[in-house]
Amino acid sequence: MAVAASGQLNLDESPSWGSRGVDCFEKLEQIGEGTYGQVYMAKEIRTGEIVALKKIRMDNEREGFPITAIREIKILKKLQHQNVIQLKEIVTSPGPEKDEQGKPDGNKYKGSIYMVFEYMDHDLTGLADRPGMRFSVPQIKCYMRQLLTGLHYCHVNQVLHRDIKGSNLLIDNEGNLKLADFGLARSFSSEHNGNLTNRVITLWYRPPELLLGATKYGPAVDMWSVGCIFAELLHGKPILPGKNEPEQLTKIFELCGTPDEVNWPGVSKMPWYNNFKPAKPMKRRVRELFKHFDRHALELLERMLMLDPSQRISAKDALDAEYFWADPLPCDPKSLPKYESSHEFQTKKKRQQQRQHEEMAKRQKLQHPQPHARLPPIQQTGQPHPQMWPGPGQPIHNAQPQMAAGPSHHYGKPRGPSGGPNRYPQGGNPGGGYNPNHPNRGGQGGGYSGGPYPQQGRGPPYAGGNMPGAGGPRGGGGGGSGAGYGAAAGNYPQGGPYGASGANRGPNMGANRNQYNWQ
Amino acid sequence: MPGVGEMEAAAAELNAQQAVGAVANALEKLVARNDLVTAATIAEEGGGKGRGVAAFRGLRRPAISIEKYMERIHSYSLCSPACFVVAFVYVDRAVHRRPDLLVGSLNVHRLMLTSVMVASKFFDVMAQSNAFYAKVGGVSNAELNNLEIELLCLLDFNVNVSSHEFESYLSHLEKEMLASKTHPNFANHSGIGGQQNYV
Repeated sequence: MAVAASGQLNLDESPSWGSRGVDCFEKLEQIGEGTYGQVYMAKEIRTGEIVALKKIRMDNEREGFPITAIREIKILKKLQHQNVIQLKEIVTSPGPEKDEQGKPDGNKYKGSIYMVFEYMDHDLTGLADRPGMRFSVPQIKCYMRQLLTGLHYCHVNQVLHRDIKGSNLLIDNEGNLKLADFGLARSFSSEHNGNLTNRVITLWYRPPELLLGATKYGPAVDMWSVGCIFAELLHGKPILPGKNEPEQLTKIFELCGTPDEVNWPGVSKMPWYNNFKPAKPMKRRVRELFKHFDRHALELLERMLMLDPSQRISAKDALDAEYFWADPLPCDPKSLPKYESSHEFQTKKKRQQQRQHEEMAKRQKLQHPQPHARLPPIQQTGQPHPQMWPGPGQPIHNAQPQMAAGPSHHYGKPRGPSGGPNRYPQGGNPGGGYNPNHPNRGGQGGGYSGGPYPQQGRGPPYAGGNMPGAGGPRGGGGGGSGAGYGAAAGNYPQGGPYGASGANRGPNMGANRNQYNWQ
Repeated sequence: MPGVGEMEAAAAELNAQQAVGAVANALEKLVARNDLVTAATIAEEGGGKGRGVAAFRGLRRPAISIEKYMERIHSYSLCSPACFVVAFVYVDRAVHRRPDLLVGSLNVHRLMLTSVMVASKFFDVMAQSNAFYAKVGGVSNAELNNLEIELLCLLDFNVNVSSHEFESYLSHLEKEMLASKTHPNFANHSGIGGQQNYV
């Protein structure tokens, strides 16, 4: 029998748990709130370090410890990079003592398990949605370069993120950007070409090959999402806000032209190509629609938004693009302005007040700045914008006087066209699980996630239904659950057919009785 | 850093019967040896559902052999053969972390059931639910969920197995298999605990 070296193991420690207890941390406040998960800001008592605690929900008895959590842990333990969120450890809080055996439910686990992450102040969407926020060109370059660096690292390590979007890009007050929420991530290998689900990536950022039913795909899927984010940063609003899968494809075709065997060899053999074959050919209009972008940005964007994944630029090549080496250069993250970090519980009140104020203003027909319209970036280069670039002696927050101490995570602000339809309409949800009571929970939005945003719905990774037309509300809910850290329910398709409570929004679980989990 | 996906390639060739046989062989030797040691201590502590390593201990020795039990798991769950090797890695890791975990005839079934299930969740493209494994393994869903958490904590959530590790364990298991074919009654001392060099 193995005997550990003396001193290596302390048998006097809690006899049950290999991991530390959550009581090593003092919960400061909840920064993400959702029906399915919570993210807390907490302080490690011993060191005083601030961290984010993401609770792993284990409500689904049949599934036990969520498979997505196992995979997220497995991937995060492997990835160590300055642009990838660091999983520091996993802590447990023991549940009540179990009953004596004989009672069948006596040993049901009632404790909780938390993933401990480094604390990040904002997410990109939340930051971009702050009233009056305007990114400078060097700032966009700085974020884009970090995004690509982190993604390149993932791809080199054979990990596909599969849910790149603004609310999963966390930003701290040092200007560092980190990829977060690997709940949908998946390792891939070039030799082992298993089938992968195409029900991944938030609809607005989902590439055409997935929408056309591809089950063999690679890092190019993430690069499409990066292209969408890039254009969004430059354009000031999401560029492809489709309401369902067919509409998403239509929007893509309107922007990038229709695919054919010339611009995308093999496309006509894609599983769902015939279902979505456009009636009339359209030509590519990226350059036309985004002619206000600078030349290098447009060039790079063109290569990111290639319909044919094999022609799409890789993260590595994107980093070499002229864009990052032409004036104005990406700035040093540390030179970026610091924004006040605020979280749900502090800001809920402020938001409410603001809403009341807005309503009043509307009633009085006063002109009021549209809270959701993002400003396009400052295109002039080289000149420090007074609003964004406080001088050395200038207090940072005074530099942006008009900015409410708004949350940087996109709290409940509806995204997209104001008053517009929910991003993830309910229609066509083939499976159970989706909780129709929360079609649009932007309002509860919490810090790390998602409120209004892509609530993603991440297409549940375990999609059972394969009907291409079934535009599930991937994403219905999770209102306000910690998005960035991935607390949104969508990550843990636990509900399945049994989650009467809607614990699982994976729309397709219901259809998939055999309990197989596709990845 | 080796890619996360490399182990898949290493394991693609593995045959189920072989894997189950080799793992069962190593476990049986271990159990035979540990049962001699633990007979006394169990009488002291009493059986039953404790926490930590004790959670895996049953009151009675299951009638089914560990080999047949694993064959049963495989035939119903259709998990890939590599899961048995990975499960063995997990048990070995747990044993190294917790020397008071003695793999014996009272706990080996639950340990392997839980480990194979976690391995399948970690490794397989498609994994059965805990509820399914509970039925196959003859424990309640609630108990298996509990054992899963216990095992993950025993492993400190360290569920990654590199291709190098995987191959080392596999070749060790195969050597053990050959050794027992030559000396069928020889419970040697390089069982589950003798593998520091692989970890």
